[in-house]
Amino acid sequence: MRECKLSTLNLTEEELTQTARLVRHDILLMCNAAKSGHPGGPLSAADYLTALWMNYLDCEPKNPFWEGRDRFVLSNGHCSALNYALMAHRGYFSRGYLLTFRTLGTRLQGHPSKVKLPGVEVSTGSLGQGLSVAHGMALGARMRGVPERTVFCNCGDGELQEGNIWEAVMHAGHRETDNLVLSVDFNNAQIDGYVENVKGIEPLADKFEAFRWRVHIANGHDMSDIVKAWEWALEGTPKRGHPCGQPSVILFKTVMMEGTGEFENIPGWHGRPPKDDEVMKMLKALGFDYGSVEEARASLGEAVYDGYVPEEER
Amino acid sequence: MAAKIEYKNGILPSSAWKPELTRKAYGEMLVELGRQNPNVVVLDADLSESTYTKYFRAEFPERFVECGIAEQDMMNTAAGLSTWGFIPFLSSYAIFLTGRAWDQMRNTVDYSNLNVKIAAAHGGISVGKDGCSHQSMEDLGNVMGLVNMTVLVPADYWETRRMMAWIPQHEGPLYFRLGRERVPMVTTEETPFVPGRAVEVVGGNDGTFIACGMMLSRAVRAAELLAEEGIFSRVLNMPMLKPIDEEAIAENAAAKMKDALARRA
Repeated sequence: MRECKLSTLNLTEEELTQTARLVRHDILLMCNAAKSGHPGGPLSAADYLTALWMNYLDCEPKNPFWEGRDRFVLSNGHCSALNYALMAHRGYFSRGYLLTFRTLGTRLQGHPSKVKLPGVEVSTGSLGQGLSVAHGMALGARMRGVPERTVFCNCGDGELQEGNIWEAVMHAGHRETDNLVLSVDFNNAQIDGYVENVKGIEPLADKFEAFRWRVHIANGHDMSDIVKAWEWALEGTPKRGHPCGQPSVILFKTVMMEGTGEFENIPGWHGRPPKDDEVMKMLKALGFDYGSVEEARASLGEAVYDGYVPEEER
Repeated sequence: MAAKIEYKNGILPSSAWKPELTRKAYGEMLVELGRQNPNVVVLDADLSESTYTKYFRAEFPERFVECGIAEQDMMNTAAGLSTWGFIPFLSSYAIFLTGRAWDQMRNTVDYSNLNVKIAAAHGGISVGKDGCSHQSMEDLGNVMGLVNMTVLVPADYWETRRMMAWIPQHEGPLYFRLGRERVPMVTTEETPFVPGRAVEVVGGNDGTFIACGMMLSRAVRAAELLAEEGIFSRVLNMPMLKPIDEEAIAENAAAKMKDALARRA
């Protein structure tokens, strides 16, 4: 097997849990400061994507185009606040810059933009498209002779109502693309209500199996279960030397707005920013006790972009 | 007196035209590009017999990605491949690419400014007998508004070949429109393709036709018929619609306006 340089943080489960708590803290303040954005999905996916970004996604934050990197595609691009917070905690840029989210001229656009922010592999936002792109990236790695480069894609559960998703699922199953790993944020909530009421997607595991994928179900808020799930997924990939001939999907059972107490599991929080009094309550539920929103914001530090700047912008 | 029509830049008179398929030129050139450049990869959505990607598939099966009948997936699979430095050429019919897969073209390929080459066969009403479902009057309108997209419409077999030779040097998303039926080979190997520029193919000062694609032969024929009546029109071939050669249009419009004003005075 080709030598594969690993570039991850290898945090303990307790460290991952604490990082995810801070990631939630930052997401809430970002949406609150911007007076817009989507807090619901980012908070449900925060635990398992923190584990992925800190411990499994090979990357070099100050060199986002490093050849040996894995790829991450946020197919549900409206969860951009989570993507940006994870990048900040991984070291792409300082946390203070997160508070420029959704302001004019920022790299942190409402939905991730490849042309604005180095480290975003492809622009997303129109639902249902990311999995096809991620699959193309996985095929590209294979055609370049580096199948150990793994492509991770995250989808929302409501997003699975898009037809393009199932075209990609069929394609990856057919091509036995085993360097592709999909995570689904299965929080059962979308804008118009609970997914099962809007347009049910169950039985989801059976659907993926029928399309020739290997499937794993995990508790998306239990760090030990989350770590086991990512280990399970990677054990079937060329990266670990065990190409299994099937793409992998983890269905993470989650709760929208997890960690915010009285605000949890309410679909209305899909795309509603918390007001000042609400964000204070949410932060308190997460264990952060601030005297004011200003004090909470100040804890993130200066709002300066200190990440990688592309050649053409220098 | 009988002044003669002035053909320029290797253009042929209609008496010498022979019909040929533009999509065949596309298929032949894919193979040539595949031999020259290992980064060229080709995708199709179950139409490789019709789009002529079958030639490439036969010679480079490891660089050919059959996507089945799934144009949206094909567009974004190509987008993913392009991030590895591949130059993906994807093909289907114009109406399916710019209709069904327009969102993928706009939000993924164009917005991310990816190096994806979109070859749309069966453009316009050239589909003929297949009828409205397969004809495409809308495709150019659908792609012209995309910010990063370059748009090409070759006139015939030879121009398709010349464009194809240039396309790998171009970086970014590109759309080019091919036809279903054989169209007259009005250009020759000597006719230049200059990216972003119109090329004068018939000289004349009594008016100007600006044409692209299969309408170039119609414009040349119109110039011939007018010449029989002593009216000599210029014909400009405008194979690149975006970015368009504004200068050529302005020059011709200005000349015409000057003439009109002179006549009125």
